[in-house]
Amino acid sequence: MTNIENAGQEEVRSLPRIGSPAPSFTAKTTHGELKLEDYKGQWLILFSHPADFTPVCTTEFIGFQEMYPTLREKNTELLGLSIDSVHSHIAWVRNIEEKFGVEIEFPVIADLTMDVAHKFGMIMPDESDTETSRAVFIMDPEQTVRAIIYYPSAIGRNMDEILRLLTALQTADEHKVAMPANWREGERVIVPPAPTQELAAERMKDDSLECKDFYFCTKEL
Amino acid sequence: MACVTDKGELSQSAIAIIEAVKDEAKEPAQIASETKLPLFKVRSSMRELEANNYVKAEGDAYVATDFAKARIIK
Repeated sequence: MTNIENAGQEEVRSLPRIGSPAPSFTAKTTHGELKLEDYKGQWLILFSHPADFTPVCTTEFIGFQEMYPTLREKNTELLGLSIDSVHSHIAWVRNIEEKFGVEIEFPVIADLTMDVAHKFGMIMPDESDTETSRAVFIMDPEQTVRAIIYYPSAIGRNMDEILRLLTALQTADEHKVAMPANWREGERVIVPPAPTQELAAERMKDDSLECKDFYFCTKEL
Repeated sequence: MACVTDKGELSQSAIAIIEAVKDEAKEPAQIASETKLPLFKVRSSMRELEANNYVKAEGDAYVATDFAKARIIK
């Protein structure tokens, strides 16, 4: 992410993009004050929701919580955010536990100043300038932004896709491979294309690979 | 504050963290492993406990202060 100052000295803050460092922050949360650096060495899924005590967000929180143990097994933490107070968050998560029997274990940022929301570009002014949209930022252990997803207010997110995306990123990093469309854990992965003619020819003789042509080879992990 | 109340009482997680470092300095990852608390929680708690003189930093590690031992550890 880069900060640019124009001739009038007015700061223009660009949004984080895939591959850029995540913007640092210090935020009030339901678990006390947290900093981005508290998550260093772990994957982090930072997600925003429009508002507490709303039905779609409630279904999402239940979905995120159901996924949370699996995420923690993958060295991944969850951090929610909305433009609500800590007391509102606390009341809402207590209500979710009371009405739905689900204890929300991950922290939620109370971003009343919209500082974090603005840093991450979570507000879509033409949809609402007082609520965050359904944004998801996946950051790796070096706190680089690795994936970004946006959903509109009316549509709840797909938890399976978020987990699939995280698993794919971690697997791709570990094995230096890429993932085909609709890849699921355990399925064949794509070997990066051979960079030279010589390596392309050698690859076609590699029995461990299944190649349609030199640029399209898959393998099992 | 998350670890320390207005009355100066500690949360259960804060007590667990102090207990973990009462005898020797440990890094947050080790404390998280021993207490089963999330690493982010240990790191943020350490900032607060250090600010309130319950732990002190020794490099990347933390150890309970005499103040903490006198007040917390039985």
